[in-house]
Amino acid sequence: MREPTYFILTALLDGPLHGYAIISQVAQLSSGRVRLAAGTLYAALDRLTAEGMLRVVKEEIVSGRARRYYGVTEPGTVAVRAEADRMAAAAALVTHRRRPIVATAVMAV
Amino acid sequence: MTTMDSATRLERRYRRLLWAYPREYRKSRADEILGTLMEIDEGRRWPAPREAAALLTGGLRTRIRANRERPPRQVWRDGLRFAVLAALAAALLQPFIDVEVSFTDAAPVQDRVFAAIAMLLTTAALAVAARGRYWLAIGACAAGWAAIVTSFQLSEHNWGAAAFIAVEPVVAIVGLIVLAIRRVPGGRAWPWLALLALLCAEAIPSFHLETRYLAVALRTGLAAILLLTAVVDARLPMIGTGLATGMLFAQTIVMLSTPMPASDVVSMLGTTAAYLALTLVVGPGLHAWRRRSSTPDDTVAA
Repeated sequence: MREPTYFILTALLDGPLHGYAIISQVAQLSSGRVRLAAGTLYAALDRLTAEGMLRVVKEEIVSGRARRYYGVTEPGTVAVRAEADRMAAAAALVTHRRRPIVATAVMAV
Repeated sequence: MTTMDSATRLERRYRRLLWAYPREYRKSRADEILGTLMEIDEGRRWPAPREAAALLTGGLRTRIRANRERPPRQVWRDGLRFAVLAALAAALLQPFIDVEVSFTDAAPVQDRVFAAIAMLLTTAALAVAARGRYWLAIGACAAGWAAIVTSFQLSEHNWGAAAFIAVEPVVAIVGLIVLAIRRVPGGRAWPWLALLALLCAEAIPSFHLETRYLAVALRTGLAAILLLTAVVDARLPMIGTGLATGMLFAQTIVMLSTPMPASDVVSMLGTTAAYLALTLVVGPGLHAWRRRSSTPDDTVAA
């Protein structure tokens, strides 16, 4: 799972959001590191909806334009949780080390 | 300038960028994406470069996916329509060249009048054929053809040349009848009128022998571009098939009416036949292969 996908699913764990709110939430969750462009966001939303991880839960008209709210589905929560577990296991390899880390000194020749 | 003004300007600029997406997709999603963009870029006058780049790549990816999901039947049906319209555009070149020749040769006024009438009628034929009104197009095309033949009879040109000029509309009419019977739905007219303008621009160098190679190079370039588009849209290379078919018929008539060395005949027919085969293999062939080789894993990855 790519990072933007992971953050989009995570942003929706608290409830359905619309496009701009997802972008803001993802930026906040990643401390401003993941800044989604609209083209990237909608490509991901289309793909995740087609895969059944997301679902359009509400549609309203705001200043003459359609606004859709996306919510994470059961398979979506399973997938994001599995990804979180995988990353946690990978992180534990470094953070839960018993033995000291042996750093090789950088020597000027 | 007021804020309202800059907002509508920005919206118009973003709407233009959204043309990167297929039309069916735009119909259902453009408003929603535009709403989000306007929220992101509040107060800007020009689209942000990174947003513009994301829209262009997103649009291209959506087009590639739409192409893969298109059923082969539709590829063939639309491909046939594209090929016939391209053949019609190629047919329209003849009266265009005729007008040019008429004006430079200080030909009789009637020649210019008939050539101009034929050009107008056949341009109208292309416009209505693109919109899906094939029977009307057949009528306009036939009238244009009659104008050319009449002009040639009046000015006592040789019949070989008359047949050369008049054969391409006949090819186009046969194709239009097929489209009308199969009830192939129409689309927009402007891409076809743009193709016509491109072909006319390409034909200008061929009036002079010394620049004829430039015309060949331009045509080859156009063909190469159409073949490359097969990745994004399998139906587009079929335009090349139509152009090649139009040229094939014209070349056959030239060969019948003027003595030519055998090597020239072989290379001319060989090039056209190779190009015809290439467009059919690269367009629908590549499409069929990609549909077969694409599994659900393709979409789950990433």
